[in-house]
Amino acid sequence: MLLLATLIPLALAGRDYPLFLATTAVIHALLAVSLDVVVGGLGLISLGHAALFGIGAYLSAAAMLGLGLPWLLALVAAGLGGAVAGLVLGALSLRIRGHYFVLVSLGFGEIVRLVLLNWKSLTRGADGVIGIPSPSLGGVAIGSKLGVYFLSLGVLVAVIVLTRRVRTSPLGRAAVAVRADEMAARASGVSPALVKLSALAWSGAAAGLAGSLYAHFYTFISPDVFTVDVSVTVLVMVIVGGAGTAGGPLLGALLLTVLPEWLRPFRQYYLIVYGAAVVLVMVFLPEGVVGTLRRARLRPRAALT
Amino acid sequence: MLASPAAAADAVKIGLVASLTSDFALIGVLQKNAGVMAVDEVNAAGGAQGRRVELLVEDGSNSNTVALGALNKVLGDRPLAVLAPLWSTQLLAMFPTIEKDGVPTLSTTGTRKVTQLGNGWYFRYFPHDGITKTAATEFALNELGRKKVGILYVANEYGQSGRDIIVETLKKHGLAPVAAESHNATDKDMSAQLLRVKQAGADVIISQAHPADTALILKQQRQLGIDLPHVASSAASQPSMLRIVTDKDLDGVYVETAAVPAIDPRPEVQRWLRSYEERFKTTADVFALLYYDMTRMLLQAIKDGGAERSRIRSWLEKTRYEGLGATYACDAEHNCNHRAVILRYTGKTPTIVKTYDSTPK
Amino acid sequence: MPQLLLNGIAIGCIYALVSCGFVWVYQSVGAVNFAHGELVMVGAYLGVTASVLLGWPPAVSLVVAVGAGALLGLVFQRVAYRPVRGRPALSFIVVSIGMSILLRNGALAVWGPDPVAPPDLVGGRMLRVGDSVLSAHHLLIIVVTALVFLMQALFFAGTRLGRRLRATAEDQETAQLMGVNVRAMIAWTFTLSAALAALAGVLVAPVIFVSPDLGLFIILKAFIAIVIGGFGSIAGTLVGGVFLGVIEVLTAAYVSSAYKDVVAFALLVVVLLVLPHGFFGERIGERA
Repeated sequence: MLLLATLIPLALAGRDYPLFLATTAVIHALLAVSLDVVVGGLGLISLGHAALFGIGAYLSAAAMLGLGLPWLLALVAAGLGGAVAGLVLGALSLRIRGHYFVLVSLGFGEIVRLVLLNWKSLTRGADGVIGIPSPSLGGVAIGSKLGVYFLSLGVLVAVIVLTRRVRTSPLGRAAVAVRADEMAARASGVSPALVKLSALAWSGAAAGLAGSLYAHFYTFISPDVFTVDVSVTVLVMVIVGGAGTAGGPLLGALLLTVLPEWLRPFRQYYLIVYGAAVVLVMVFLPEGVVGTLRRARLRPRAALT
Repeated sequence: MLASPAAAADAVKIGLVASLTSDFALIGVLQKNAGVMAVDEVNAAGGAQGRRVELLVEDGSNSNTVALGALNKVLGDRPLAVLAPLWSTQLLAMFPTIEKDGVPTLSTTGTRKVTQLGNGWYFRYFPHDGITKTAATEFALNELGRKKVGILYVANEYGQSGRDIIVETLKKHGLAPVAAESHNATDKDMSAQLLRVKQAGADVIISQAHPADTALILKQQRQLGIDLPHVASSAASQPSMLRIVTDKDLDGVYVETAAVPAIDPRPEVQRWLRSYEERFKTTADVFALLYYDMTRMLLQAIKDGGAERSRIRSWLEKTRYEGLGATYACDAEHNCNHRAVILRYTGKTPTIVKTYDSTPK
Repeated sequence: MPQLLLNGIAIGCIYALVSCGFVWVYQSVGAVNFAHGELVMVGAYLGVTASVLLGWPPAVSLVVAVGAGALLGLVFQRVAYRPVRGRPALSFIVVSIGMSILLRNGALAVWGPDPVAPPDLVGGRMLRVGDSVLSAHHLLIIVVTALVFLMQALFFAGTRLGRRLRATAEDQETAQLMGVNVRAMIAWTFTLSAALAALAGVLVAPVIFVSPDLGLFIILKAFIAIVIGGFGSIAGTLVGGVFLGVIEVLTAAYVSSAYKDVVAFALLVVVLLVLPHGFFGERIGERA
């Protein structure tokens, strides 16, 4: 899959529209992967992901425009900001469970958006931030669409690799234990609080990185980019693709980025079908496309289960 | 003389990005229709430079991302120019791409800032807030003789831009607003804001909001018995607003806008309105009218200036054009429409009570 | 100040009324129905279509809308709830999100994006209450809200169907063992919930206008109202809704109109922090 992701865009070099789509898909994929840490990893549904995305975007823009920092530092700032915001959400998740957490995450997302909108002196409010510089490495600006694509791909791959490392580490195993049975996990010395906070912080950091990529790619951000709709879309990407699977969020991101563009002439009906698809997938393929495929493949071998 | 339809070979391509879905479609579809109408007329009369004009239409919906995608898609076909949406957030998101690609882009946005960013390829066909909101404020001060202005604005770039201009204009007269209250576009109850404005001792209200919330504000203002003159933004003369506001609520309200095709006595305007309505089964508004003018002017630029991007740009910059909704003459910032009018509604019937025209002679 | 309070109560009753059916569903099946706002919106549109487009008298339109709403509720639970019944509660949340997208865009396709304003049900009259004013329609809403809540209390305590629904809500398994047809009860719950939503929609449409996006606005307010009032309590919804309305108006008037929504959402978070399981207790939270 990585091979495809590298080769196809090279073939598309110079064709702006497909490259634009590809980069957008990568950013969406990063968002989906970051949300899956929480949804797939902890079984927790969050509708506030857009806030983490937005905080990263604004911090990155502010770092380059306001403080004149080079892009790599801005990226780091975005990741840190996202992590802090994730920690706040994580702290909330310790006290508030299940359905309530869904609502609280929604509230969190809206609060952040409203603050971004109304704190004009800090964020320029509804006007948005224009003229965000392109990313640059070592002082060299990467303005070409192809360059930005590969940069984003690099960040995505790095996050995926790191996430996988964490999954197989003691912390990752602790997360599985907590998800299965929190009380038993606690009894065997695992701290559910630590697990949740770490997961949400990591999820926030990755989302923040996506925010930075978005800001410097689109060069314009405003509060109306980071709405509940975005949070919902990312959640759908994770669920339709398959929460907790390696390829699920990636597939979901790809599908939900490319399909609406393909179906442009039918957008009105696309949205209706999209809603129906969410219902159908949830009903018939609760583990998402990748999850169901994986289960189907495993079934002949899992005769013991 | 029979006009022969233009040759299909080697069509002249023009991109059109408008909001065809979502709540933005209220205006987007009306504008797209106007563009289609203009192109069809020109094609029936022989096209531009003898070639058929082809519109590449894409939906920008209500999101920057979708709009940018639409623009990118359209630019892939190398159009000579792009007819763009009027939402400033979408425009600003598109600006870097427009500048990089070097394509003349036209739209009817009112937000002042858009032409202050030095984008040499963008042309504005609506009088910007600096013209309309200044007119509204001057009207309140000079014609209505008021001094204590209460501002009600919607919390987005449209509302904030309007508020800023009103404040600026008042400052020039050595005044300041006595109150400036915002609301969200989806809010249903603005009584707190209205009462605050009243408490602050306002003697006139100037508002910058969208059709649905303006309708609610007017309704609630009357219900609360706040008997102050109200100068509303162009949203208040939109057909969608007129469908939801009652005669009583609109009676006596002043509205600033660019033009009012419905009450324009000139036969060519009335004819245009009728053919629009016949073809698209819906009433055209000022945004559609100006978009039509804008498209016709662009097609004229191609005819007379040449089917090439920089030629189109120079022609637009230098030429004075008589449209149905206004006379267009672009200034250094590429603002091409300098005319605002103030209407007064009696029930749902408007009459123009003052015109502020700063179009260069 | 009194005028503000009056307005706050009026808008608060609207919030409470549109949140009504939502709590029913939550109580009986432990499901958060994200599409509830859309049920209100569709009910409102049906009412408007009947009265404005077809010219039927208001009473008839109301009945038609409520009936159609009930039917929609029946279909809704068959299509969206039953298939995921045994699964973790969060499954239904996602399904209902899908339904809300479907209904919202379906409404957009059918009725278009234009906001619609049906005429006031009582002719736009204003009443004087001391130094303040209240529109007659608002008074109607307040009265109906009070009646609806009263009737709900009576229904659940006094009628057989009501008691069976209560039993299903408290413990589905036991209710089944005691001979209650749980499947039927679930169908009833959604049907009645949607009917209530439609009623609310028709009633509030003249005041807040109808558009396909109305559902999103409603569900956000409903969440806050219900959490404040107590997720498990129907009476709490009334209290929560009115409280939210008043807080919004007072914040806009005395603090800042720009931040009133922030205050509302912050309230949501704070209440949940203090009472992490809401007033109703553990029953729902741990199933996932």
